[in-house]
Amino acid sequence: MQLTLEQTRKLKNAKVLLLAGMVLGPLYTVFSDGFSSIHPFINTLVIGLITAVLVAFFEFILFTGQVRKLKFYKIFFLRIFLYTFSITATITMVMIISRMFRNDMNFRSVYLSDEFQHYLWEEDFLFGILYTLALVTIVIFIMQIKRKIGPKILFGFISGRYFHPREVERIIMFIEIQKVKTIIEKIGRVRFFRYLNDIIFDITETVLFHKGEFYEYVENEILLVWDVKRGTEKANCIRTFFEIQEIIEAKKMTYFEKYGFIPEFHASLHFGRLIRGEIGDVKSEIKYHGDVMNTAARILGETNWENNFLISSDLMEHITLPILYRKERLGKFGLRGKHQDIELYALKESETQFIK
Amino acid sequence: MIIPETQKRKLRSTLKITLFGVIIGLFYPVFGDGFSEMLPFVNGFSIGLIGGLAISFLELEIFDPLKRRSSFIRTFALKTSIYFFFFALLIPAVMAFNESIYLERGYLEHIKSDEFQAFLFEEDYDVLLFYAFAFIGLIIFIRQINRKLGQGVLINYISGRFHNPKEVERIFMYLDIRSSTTIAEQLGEIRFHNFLHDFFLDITECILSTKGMIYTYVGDQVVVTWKMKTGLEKANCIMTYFHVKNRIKRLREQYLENYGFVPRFSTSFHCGKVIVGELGDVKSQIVYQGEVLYETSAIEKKFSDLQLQEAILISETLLNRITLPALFKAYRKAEIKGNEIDTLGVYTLAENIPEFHGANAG
Repeated sequence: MQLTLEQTRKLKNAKVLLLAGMVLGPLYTVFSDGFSSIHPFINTLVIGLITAVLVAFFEFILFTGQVRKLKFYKIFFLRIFLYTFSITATITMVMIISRMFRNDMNFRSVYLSDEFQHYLWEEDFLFGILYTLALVTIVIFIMQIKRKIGPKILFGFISGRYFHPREVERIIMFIEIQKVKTIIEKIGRVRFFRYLNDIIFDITETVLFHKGEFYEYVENEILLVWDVKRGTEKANCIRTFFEIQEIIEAKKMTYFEKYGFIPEFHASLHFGRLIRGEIGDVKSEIKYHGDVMNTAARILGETNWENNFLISSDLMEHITLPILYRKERLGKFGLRGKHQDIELYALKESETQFIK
Repeated sequence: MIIPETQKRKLRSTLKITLFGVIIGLFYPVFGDGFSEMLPFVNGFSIGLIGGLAISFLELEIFDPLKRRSSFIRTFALKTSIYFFFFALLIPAVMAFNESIYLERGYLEHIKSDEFQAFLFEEDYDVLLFYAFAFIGLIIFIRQINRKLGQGVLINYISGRFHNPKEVERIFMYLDIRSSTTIAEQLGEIRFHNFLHDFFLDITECILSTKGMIYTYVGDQVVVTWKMKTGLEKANCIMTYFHVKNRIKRLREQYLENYGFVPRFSTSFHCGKVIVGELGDVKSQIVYQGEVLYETSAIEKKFSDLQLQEAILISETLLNRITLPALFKAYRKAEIKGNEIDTLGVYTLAENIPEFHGANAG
């Protein structure tokens, strides 16, 4: 069975969660009970694992899609309620079951025993719940921030990977949404903003599936980057744009009903050496600087309705074109502000051959 | 007495950190000891208070000025371990002090007592340390992430305030480094990047002290925004230009030594209605969109063919609403094509010193 990228990603995140649960659970025991006996470790390990599964379930299955668009405070209270309830239940159950095994008693008699009642009302029980809740809050917080600022960026910031500027080789794609002026005039800026956001949400999975990274949104342009190896294998960078068009094509009725327009795109692909580094102190951004950026933008300027997807020959040489697509040589272009001419190809869908 | 904005900001931060410290300090006994006794609360309160003040002092006076060139993980590790050791000493010191008063014993006598020794080596001390350590780590982590993301961005992400795009009125400043192409050619790409980073670091304080919010960096340009009220008050937005000018002037020797030149810059100011919203799913950005931004950048382009005393251009729209510092007078220098009105006047500032009519004159 082939997993979709979304599933693979969730699975990977779930593994990290489980690991965190396995570490953070027993950590509690280290500080509260010490190493004198093995039982507390087993208990907290089990609690850690169950909590991780709970978080994975709630965050990846329950709080996704449309639910994410609910008002913040609603989700907030729902989360608090669900987590407090389920964590309290988990800890109680684990503690009872562990005592059932150790003391060879049944569920009811453990629960009613003085020792257990004492634990519930006078000892660590409340502290354990709070510890778990606090850690769950932190983990969810980090997960959300990570998603918001871009998967790699958070750990880049933390590890200082981008701290010193470095020269890197990257594929750059500019995607431009067309007819912006007309659209803004017709539907206004606020609705245009939503239109743009809808497009970005719709294309996100495809871009991630083809290993692209969102770099920036500039006006009506979306900038994507690839590591050269990841972008060229399976012609990932080229497939991305064609698939974006397919996805939007499939959703064109929704767009037309909502906004009265069907999104159309122009795009350019280019690659080369760029400087990547962190810039700014308050509000740090990870930026790519270099001539390649300007060239890619200029290539975008050469697109038109007939040839809406252009690629530089430099990059074309590195990619084997999939059977679905064909290239059309457009010749050399003298781009504004460039000394050297650059050779461009237009990429198009091949005529589909049906059996006669 | 007028307290400078920088001082106010530090005071606010100190207050916030200390308050947080006290709350966390009072929180621990609720779960550790319950409400039966008073002493744990006194302990929690005093540790939180002293710890909060000390952390504020270290953060604002020592680490912030030093921070310039140190990566996230190093800063984080350094700070957390320093604070950890600090608390490792502070907690027993404060507790022994409070308890010695409570028990009416001498300070040293109490420290040597079996009771206190038992606390240190057998009882809660390690849990307490862990508790303090966890919260210190958390606070520093959030502070650092918050700084990285930019003013208000984290809060906006969490609260989802801009989940739906909204129309707001804002002041914008574009600050451009002049002749950056030449600079880039001279320095080479990596050193140019370092130069930009240095320049942006140097001017950050100037922007914060006038309550500006850094919106984004575009190439050699910084875009800063103000809410109308904060930007107009005391002409905050325009004052940024003078702060930056003075700061770069003061640092000119450093720039000459490091890069061989002193950067020049130009600033354009404009205001109006824009749309602000959160864009994107993975990698969200809080984005401003609107004609105002195009117009500001059109103003910025006017610099190439103007000779000005001050490298500042202000749109008519903003000028009509702002009270200029008394020393300056506005002069109309250019026009751009506006969205709402056909010709939008663009003004620069020049010193307006009335001629001196002394007793000996004329």
